[in-house]
Amino acid sequence: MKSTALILSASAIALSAMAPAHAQGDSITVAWYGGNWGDAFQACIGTPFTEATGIKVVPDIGTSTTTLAKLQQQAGAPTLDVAFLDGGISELAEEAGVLAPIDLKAIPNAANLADAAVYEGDNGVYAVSGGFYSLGLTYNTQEISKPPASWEDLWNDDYAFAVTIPSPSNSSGIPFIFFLNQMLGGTSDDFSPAFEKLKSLDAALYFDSSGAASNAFQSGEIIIGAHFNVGAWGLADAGLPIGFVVPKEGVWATDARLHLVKGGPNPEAAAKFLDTALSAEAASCLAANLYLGPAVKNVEVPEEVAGKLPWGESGSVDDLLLFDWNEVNAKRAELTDMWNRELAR
Amino acid sequence: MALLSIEGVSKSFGSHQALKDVSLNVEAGEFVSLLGPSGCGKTTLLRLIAGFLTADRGTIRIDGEDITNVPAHRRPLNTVFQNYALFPHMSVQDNVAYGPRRSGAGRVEAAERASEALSLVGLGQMGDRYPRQLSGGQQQRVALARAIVNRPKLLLLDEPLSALDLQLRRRMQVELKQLQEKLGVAFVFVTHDQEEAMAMSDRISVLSEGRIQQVGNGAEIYRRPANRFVAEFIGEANLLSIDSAHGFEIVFAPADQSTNRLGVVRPEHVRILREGDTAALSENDVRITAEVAAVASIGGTTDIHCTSLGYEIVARRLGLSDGGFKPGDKVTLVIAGDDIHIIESERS
Amino acid sequence: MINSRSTVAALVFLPLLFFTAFFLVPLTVVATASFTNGDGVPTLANYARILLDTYHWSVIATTFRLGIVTTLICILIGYPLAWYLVRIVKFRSWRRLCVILLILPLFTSNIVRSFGWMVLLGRNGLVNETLQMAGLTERPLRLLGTETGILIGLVYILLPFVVLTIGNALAKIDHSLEQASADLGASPAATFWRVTFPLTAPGIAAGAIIVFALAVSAYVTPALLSGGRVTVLAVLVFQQYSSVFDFHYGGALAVTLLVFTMAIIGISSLVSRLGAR
Repeated sequence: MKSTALILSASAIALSAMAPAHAQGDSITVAWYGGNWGDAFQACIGTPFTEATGIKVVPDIGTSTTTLAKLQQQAGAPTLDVAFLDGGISELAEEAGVLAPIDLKAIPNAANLADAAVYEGDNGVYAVSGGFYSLGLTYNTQEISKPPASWEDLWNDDYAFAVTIPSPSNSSGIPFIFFLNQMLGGTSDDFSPAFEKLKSLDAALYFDSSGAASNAFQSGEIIIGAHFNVGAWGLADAGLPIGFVVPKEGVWATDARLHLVKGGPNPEAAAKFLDTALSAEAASCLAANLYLGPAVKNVEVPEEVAGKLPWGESGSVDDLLLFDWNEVNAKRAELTDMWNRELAR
Repeated sequence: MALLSIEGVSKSFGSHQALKDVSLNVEAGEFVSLLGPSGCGKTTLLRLIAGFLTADRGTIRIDGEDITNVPAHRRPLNTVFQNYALFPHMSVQDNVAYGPRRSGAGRVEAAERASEALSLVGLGQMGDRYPRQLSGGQQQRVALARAIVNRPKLLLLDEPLSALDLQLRRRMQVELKQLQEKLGVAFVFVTHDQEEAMAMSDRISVLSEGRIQQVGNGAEIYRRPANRFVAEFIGEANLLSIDSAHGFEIVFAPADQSTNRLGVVRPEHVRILREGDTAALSENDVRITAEVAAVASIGGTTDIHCTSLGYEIVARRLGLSDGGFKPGDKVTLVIAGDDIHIIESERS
Repeated sequence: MINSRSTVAALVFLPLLFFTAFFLVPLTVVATASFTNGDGVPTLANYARILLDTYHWSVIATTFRLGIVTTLICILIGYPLAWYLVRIVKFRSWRRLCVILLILPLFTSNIVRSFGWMVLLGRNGLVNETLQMAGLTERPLRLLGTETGILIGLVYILLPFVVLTIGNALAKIDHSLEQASADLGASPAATFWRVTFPLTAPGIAAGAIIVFALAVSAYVTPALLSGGRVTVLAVLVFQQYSSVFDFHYGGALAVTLLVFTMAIIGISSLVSRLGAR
């Protein structure tokens, strides 16, 4: 009855009616996330961009989902110029037709993009990656002295009822089922291997938000589970006994992507903003701040940071398992329903 | 043996002493009013009898049995509350049947007794209504029916008529008195209205500042007030300091000279004569020369305000005629010696 | 005159506008979506999908079981608490402090409070440590991820509403009614059950409706304290709106929750009205 989405879309209607028209040229509006992500984007991209061009960056804070809702509400007269959206939501935005094609030639730094970091649709490139993050094995180093090496360790009896994995409400929930299913030899038509295996998992928490996962690791309620490298190393940096590994079966990863808004008020400044975002300095800064894996080549990161990137100590962007989000999205409703019936009861 | 016997009861609220060493007896079937200005302690005394308050000192007995520390619900008496305190969630019938039900009557018996009590107060047809659907007078009768349905020997009434308008109050006074006599139940009736107390009571207990000032029937406390407070509170009085009194030879002192005795003279006992008119005097009469200050006709009486010896003395004549007296007239005020009630003055 | 009339019109109109914009419009959007399919064609398929499926009935049962039990526990705890505050506490300042302590949690985020309970109810949490130290259990009790855990969280969050409504009803009772009852021979227990309790019934009903409506529609508390292991309707609604983006099925779930809630409140008030006769 009181779903957040409902309230958000109602407020979006109200806000869109009130938002003042931005003067063109001297500022651009960029939608990105809240919290430490938003702070890092401001420090690594926003501030250098303003320093270089004199154009102010007006942040519009929201999750990917709310930003997409806003883009759809404002389709006629957008106030946003650039939008950060997670993998998965990015594809939905393209499908909704609210994105403008990105001319990579007009963006000098785009030349350094890894192949996996460019997303093309029917109308050309609709998204470029701003950096990768992965869902790996996160564990309490006090409770578990020997770092786990395999996802199978989640089923270790010693950790019964102290395990967490994402729920379908989390953006990583459905991809994680895909990942497990693939690891267990299932196909995209038959997810029973993943569900059979998950049914035998003594999980304490299926987390909806990564904050809930971090909290559970912090309180000691959870000692092992699937968590993002960004969140896990954030906990470790805060002095908690938390470790993060890329198991031998690999990790599923996704990225925070940059998009140009169709009909945005300042297209030229927006393209320049993308260029700043794809600079080696920005990527290095985001790696240091969020442990976001750079999507552009030739990025220098300190050794201390390199070990905490999404692909682990010795990997690279090529080692990440990046699923086709369109395929994931197509199965989302069905897998959510299966999850509800098989696990969440 | 008295039905209700109160001995040496005191009660304080914090530092305020509401009742000081109060004693009072009420006989079976007697109508006793507790009369006094607000804050005099009359309601506190009623609540002590009912058991809603506990006395600090003293004993309260009913039929000789000490009930000082018996909780309210075990006391053999009932109360009519000032605001009626009818249960708003129950019908009139259920309100009245509440008492019999609590004292062990079955549903049918309780209903019969409730109907009977309701007819007694003239509300036989109102049983299905709810209190909020009744007028103030009807609610008053329901409260009465509820209080008498258990046939108590003693009924406490806390200013039960104060919320009614004057005409209805007069009628209810008569009905209440008739009902009291018919049922033979003793009433302890709290009121601040002296006319009401006079009209209804067998005896009146006048309270002031937590003490009983005087107990007696209406005529007694009117004719022979025990002290200055009662004299002034009950009816109107001319209060004159007495210089000397030998039999009926009474000499009043001027107002600025206080003495240890006061003469209480009711206005209707002051005759007024033109100066020099001595025709109708008898030897017991006390004469005072005075000057008319003002003349006022109120209803069926005319008050002539005179000044003498520094007092304002009121003479009351029946009827609207002012007898031709005008302000400034020199007059002689005549008071029969036995109409002067002498009390010890508290002032000296 | 004209001026004051237009002021009155504005005073009526503004709340009405607010109500329309922030309640009726979103509700209409949700309801409309629930009766259409992806192509905007009217259909009842979304409701058929819910109501013809035993899985959904089990979720509905869980949701309303939690709602009813939460409401009952809130009343059982809230009534004595309200009694204490209104009837027993003598000092006004202490009462004021108690009321502040009671409603203080309402000023903090629901999420923060739920996280607090996660810490208390966890394997190594205060509750389990106390139980183990007292020797009542050997191994930690599983509280998080169970209906018990959700219940504890919901009761804690919703208790103030019951205490406030019952306390208000208790404070409004004319003391002379209870004296009249005693005067007519009723023992203290009889006075409570026949006079005091019936007169606080409207307060109980008001508190119960608030608690029940908030409990069955709660998302944050069940989501956090169940660890995703107990599904209530609000969680299904949230999933559809936040990650699956099926506003038709999600809308139908939301409307189902609304209709069931109103039906249960309606039935219970009808039953209590008939019972009062």
